[in-house]
Amino acid sequence: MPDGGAAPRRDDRSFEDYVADRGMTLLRTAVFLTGDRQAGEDLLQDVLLRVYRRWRHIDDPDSYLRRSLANGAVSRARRRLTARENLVDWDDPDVDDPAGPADEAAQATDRHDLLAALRQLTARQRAVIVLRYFGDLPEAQIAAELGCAPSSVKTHTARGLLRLRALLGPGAPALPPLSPSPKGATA
Amino acid sequence: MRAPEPAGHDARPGPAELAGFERRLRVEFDAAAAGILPPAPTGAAIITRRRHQRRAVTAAIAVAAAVALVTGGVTVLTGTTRHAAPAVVPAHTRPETHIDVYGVTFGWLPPGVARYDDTVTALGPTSNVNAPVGVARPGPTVQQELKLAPVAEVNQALAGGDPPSPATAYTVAVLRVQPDPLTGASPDPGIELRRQWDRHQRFSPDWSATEVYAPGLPARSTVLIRRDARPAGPSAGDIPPVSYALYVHVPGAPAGVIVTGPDADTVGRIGAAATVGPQPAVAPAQRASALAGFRQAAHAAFDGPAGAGMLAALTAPDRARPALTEALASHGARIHAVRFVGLGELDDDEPDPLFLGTTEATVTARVELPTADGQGHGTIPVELRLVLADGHWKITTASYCAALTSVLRCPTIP
Repeated sequence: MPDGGAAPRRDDRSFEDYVADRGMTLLRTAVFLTGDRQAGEDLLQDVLLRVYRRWRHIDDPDSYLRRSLANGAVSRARRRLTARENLVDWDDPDVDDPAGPADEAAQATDRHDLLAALRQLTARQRAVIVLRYFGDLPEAQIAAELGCAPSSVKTHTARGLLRLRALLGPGAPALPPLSPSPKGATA
Repeated sequence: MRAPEPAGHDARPGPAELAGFERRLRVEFDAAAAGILPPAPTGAAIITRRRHQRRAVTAAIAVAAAVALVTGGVTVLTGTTRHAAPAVVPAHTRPETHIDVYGVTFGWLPPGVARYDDTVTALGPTSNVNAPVGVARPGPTVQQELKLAPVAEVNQALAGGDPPSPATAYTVAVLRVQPDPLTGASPDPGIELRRQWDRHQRFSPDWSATEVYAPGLPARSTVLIRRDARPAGPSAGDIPPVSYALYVHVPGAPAGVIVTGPDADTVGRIGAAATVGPQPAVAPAQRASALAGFRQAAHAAFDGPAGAGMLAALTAPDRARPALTEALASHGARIHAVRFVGLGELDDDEPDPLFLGTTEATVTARVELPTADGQGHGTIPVELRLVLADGHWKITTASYCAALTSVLRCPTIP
């Protein structure tokens, strides 16, 4: 791991190595955090640009990336909501806007789609759910990385789980993938 | 698709049921992750994109480019700071009283500040934006940003010390949205100001930002943002607890202005004294003449057989003279191995000059540099800033030093 060791070198080569090692995990995390492949790619690219500028000063890239992605996804959702008044014709009105009860019926055909279900969560619920169940982080670490109280993480997680359960249904789990776990190293 | 759920499936579940759902959720994540296929971004692509975005005169870019030349991680540059230390402290840093930035005149500046960074960034069109029918789409946006700091802090940086503190620095930036390449129509830069604000909000783990009030400059649309540093920010030690960003849009004018700094009144005064002019441009004949001048200056600066000829092609030869003299004496072969290859990023690229004024431009050039081990050479794209003086285009010393960071240590502060 490029950032292992007491005094990791922080140059372009180590940046390339890090992204080569973690790129897919980061991409998947970003896609889940935004609920959309394109938005996830955009988010990750912008966050990596920011990280590259600061690369030499970042002690824990994994933690920094997770925090930046989660904050970026939440800020993006907030921004889209606040920007709608001014740019109603320019933004997708549905992304990051939790659907109301009337919309849930329309989501029935997407019940098999985790991304569609994630999009129905609030951005904060989505962030803690993704970090908890995809990133395998304990609640205390999520709270530390997001800069919030552990009780907030519990609340968002509980509400997110309930909503996901309602959206996905309590039925049998999907078949696990045939290939090895796509996560690789934990995000 | 799953069968419809029985009624009441979303009633609050018990602990065992919830634990089962959590296990299932992990499996769902794994399955969904397997469906998210490559390509993932690569570090090289990010670095390249960063170079393209920032057509600027910074040692950071020069470092990135120079690293591309070395193999096996051997480089003399890994410890280089953004502003390379010069051999001698120049004594000619002068305070600015007013300043022209990409066709905008800032008629008032805080007393005693000098410029210490000057970057030009080309941002691609806003992604995921679909313009309504009849509305011009934004083309790329070009932004020039100047950083200003107290003279003493700039001199300190020039002497190889710490860069100016964000707690005392101000920035002025000008945005110009380029016309829609399909229709030629020019979108309202207000859209791009909004976009800049969006970007700031989205990517600021160091800050929390709130819109505090609109100062109400006559005939201008303005928004003042108060930014509070997050205590846990990675760079919190350098960041002042509060700073401000003023976004100024002059309706009908082809540019937007952003001013940032630690004091709200000062930021507002800078914005109020800004005069927006048309986007700088040159006629085709002037462009051709300028390109010839760029090539002539680049050949002289990079291919010159002697230090005097190289320095004559620079805007501030005294700033580079000590370092170049020392470099020619200590590793002259490496200096003479430098070669100007051509304008444009790639061999078959058209030159891409961007005129920041009638007498100032930036252009991508290809320069051949020796590798760190001296055993080979490679060609890298660099951004050159040029200024027309006495009828001749000269390369700014800062951009020259930034391009040659791997072989020459001289100031990259403009």
